Amino acid sequence: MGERKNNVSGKNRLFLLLTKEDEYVTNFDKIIKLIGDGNKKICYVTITRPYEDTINELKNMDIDTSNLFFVDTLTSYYMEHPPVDNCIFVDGPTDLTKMKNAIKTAINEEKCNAIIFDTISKLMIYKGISSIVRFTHELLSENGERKTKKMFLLQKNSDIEKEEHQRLISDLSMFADEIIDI
Amino acid sequence: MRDILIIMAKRKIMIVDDEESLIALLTAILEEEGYEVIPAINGEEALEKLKTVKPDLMLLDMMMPGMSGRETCENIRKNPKTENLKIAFVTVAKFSEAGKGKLDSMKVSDYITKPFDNDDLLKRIKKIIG
Repeated sequence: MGERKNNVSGKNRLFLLLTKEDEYVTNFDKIIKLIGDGNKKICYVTITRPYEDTINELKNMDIDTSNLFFVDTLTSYYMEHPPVDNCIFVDGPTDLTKMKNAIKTAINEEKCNAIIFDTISKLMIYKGISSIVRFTHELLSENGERKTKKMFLLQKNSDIEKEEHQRLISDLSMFADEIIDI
Repeated sequence: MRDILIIMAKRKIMIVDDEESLIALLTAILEEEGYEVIPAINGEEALEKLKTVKPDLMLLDMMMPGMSGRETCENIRKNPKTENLKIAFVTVAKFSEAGKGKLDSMKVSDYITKPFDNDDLLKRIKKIIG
């Protein structure tokens, strides 16, 4: 990944990060730096891996997880999980309203001021492009969410149909302050 | 004769939006101002209607199921018969600077963010088509 001089900034505070699926975890510390300085508390919305797997992987890489608050959209789909302090378990990735409410809680109650969405590409398995774009627009226009920095991860080697994936990127890019290709 | 001239002079605005309530609201506002309104509930219907009607302006919702506003605009620009149609996007979120650059390349005249102010909407429309 190339060096960047500045952190990302922009009016909508929305950034699209294109990365290979097997590389973004190893680049995670650089992704954190992109979204802001070490003082930011980050809401990490995961659609790709359950909370347990995600946090263990990050800890194995010696990444400080104390400033991460998770929204897990997978675990509850399959099993009950005892409550944890740093995670909201949403029933599944298909209910975008519940996902948005969990993000709202992360912002209002946990004081998160940045969001990483891992990954928008995976969300396409469950929702159509227009639903995802509408979801994005709501994050951009609602007060608390609008002020947060939002990093949407998109997989370059996605198994989602290429043309559909490109359509989504094209629609989101109208509102993204920057598209970063790792 | 005068009445015929008034009808001939009516400006036509096509409203493309999947929300029928918004079409109804915009229709009421625009007809009150003397515009003729042509509704379409999605991009496909808009393209079909453009084969037979020639609006002066299209108010085009960005977010629609199926063909998005962006795709609808691109399809309109690809057709020599409609490539110069004046288009204003209607959107909930604000465009980024990069997005605004794309609007220029798509020859979009303006964009209106929801919720909109009626007077502001009418001023912007007048600025585009008079």
